[in-house]
Amino acid sequence: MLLSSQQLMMLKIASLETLYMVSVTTLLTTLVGIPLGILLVVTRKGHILENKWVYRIVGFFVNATRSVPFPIFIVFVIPLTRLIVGRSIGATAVIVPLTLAAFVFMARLTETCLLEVSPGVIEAAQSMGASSWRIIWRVLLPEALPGLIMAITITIITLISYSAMAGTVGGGGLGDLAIRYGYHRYQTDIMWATVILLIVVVQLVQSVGDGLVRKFTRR
Amino acid sequence: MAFIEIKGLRKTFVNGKSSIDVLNGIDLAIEQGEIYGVVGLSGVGKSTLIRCLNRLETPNQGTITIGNVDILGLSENELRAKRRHMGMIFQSFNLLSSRTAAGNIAFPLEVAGVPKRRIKERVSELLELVGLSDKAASYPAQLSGGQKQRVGIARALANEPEVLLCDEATSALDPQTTTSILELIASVQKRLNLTVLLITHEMKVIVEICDRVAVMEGGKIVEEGPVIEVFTNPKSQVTRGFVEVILKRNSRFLENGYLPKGRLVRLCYIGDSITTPLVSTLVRLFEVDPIILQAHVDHIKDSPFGILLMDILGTPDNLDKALMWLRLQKDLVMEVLN
Ligand SMILES: Nc1ncnc2c1ncn2[C@@H]1O[C@H](COP(=O)(O)OP(=O)(O)OP(=O)(O)O)[C@@H](O)[C@H]1O
Ligand SMILES: [Mg+2]
Repeated sequence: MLLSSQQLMMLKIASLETLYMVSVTTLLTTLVGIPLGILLVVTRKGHILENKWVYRIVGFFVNATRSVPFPIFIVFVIPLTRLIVGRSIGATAVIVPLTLAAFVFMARLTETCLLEVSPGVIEAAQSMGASSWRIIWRVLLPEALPGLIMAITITIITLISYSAMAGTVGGGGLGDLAIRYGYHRYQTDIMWATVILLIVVVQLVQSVGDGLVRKFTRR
Repeated sequence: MAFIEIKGLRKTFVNGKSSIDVLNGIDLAIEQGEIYGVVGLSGVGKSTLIRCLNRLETPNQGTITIGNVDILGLSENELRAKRRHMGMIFQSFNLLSSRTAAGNIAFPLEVAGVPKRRIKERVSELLELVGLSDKAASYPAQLSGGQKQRVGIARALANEPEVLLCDEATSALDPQTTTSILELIASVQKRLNLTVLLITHEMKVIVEICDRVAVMEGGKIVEEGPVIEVFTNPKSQVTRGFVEVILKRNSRFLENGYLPKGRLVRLCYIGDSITTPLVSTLVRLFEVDPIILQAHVDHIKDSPFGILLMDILGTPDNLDKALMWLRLQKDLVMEVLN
């Protein structure tokens, strides 16, 4: 089975679209999700910046966002997408719903990681007179680093598969290509090529992530 | 006024509808430069008490002053500044697993805003102080429990604190390592003229390094004083229990159902009395025949301390005189067990 040069070109464009959507979304997701996850941890009862209302409100917001199925989400946020990027279709437009759906996911993963940090270590830092800000930056984040890397890896892989659904709003990408040509037009060769490419990419992301986790694990 | 003064300290934990009174009015006065031990059974509130001193726990009532500073009256900022001059070590060490030994010791120096170059110097001084210069680059996971606690001690001493708080610092260690860690605490205490507050559930720890001891029960201090006094003359039931743990090995004779032929006497002698020829004097002056069942000499901090269990045979008259004489000896506590 050999692909025509036209098909190869389509694959190349789709790959670049996926790369674009996933990398920009990962960046935004991490930038917003990790701080939100931190907030969910430090405002908990008994934690360094305990605050019942902030914790409840942020928690409610995160749960609410996570309850909406992604395809519905895409449609649901169209007005917002228009407002931010000026249009509601195309790869850039897809970044908006993707980010909105993924950053809450990232926030929960971050929360889980940070809760693993031993309360004793946090207390030791407090006993030395460290400020809450320093505890977040110099204790919580470094101690949870392997877990956070794992969380980012999981998020990237989830985003790769979510981005396939982006086809519904003309976002393009590998998943969209597989659906349009493989599913709707019975061009199984291109479908297989896409699927294999996705498998390889996901494996690659996972092993880079695992490698980094190993590198930063001191336990 | 004592260096550390705690007055009427109370703490109640509220969990939903239920609440427990953990500290029920604690009064303590700790002098500058002493090692003060608080001993008590598990769950009696020792950790809660020590954590109140640097306000990891906020008491409901009472006052705490350390070096004339009213700890409970400090603002958040003042508290952080004060904490930099109070070292604390923990039962589970609580080291940052993501930092090396050197990195862990550097942490409090970073907190205090010490310049980078000075941090490096200070860290190597401290590593040397605790005998871990060769482990500077090891992560906690690569260190033994004793080594981890040494890092913990170095970290606690980094900013030249005036007070060192030890929360069960040796409870996770084997007996030999415990002794070496206690020796380290005692030696740095002497060198830096630190005031040390140490809490433990083991009388052995108290006996090895403390100058004074308080015994805690039911959220209160039930007995307090110089270790030798409390140890040789325990007043409360709990204290007797703690002392028994140390004396136990000397009483096995009795547990095994030994039937005394004369008067069964236990002597605790301390300080100078340890060098008096006690037994031979008894024999010569009172013509009694002591059978030595068990004898043991140990140290309470730096003072020698001995325990002697004897079955003393003789005529009733001679026995009475002998016991009377023993009672009159200085630095000797006698207990007649039958
Ligand atoms: N944050 C808390 N909330 C509710 N109860 C608590 C809390 N901290 C401690 N307690 C309770 O207070 C009591 C005393 O605890 P504390 O840790 O001070 O005891 P301890 O004497 O140090 O015991 P151990 O020797 O086992 O360490 C215990 O009954 C414990 O369950
Ligand atoms: Mg405790």
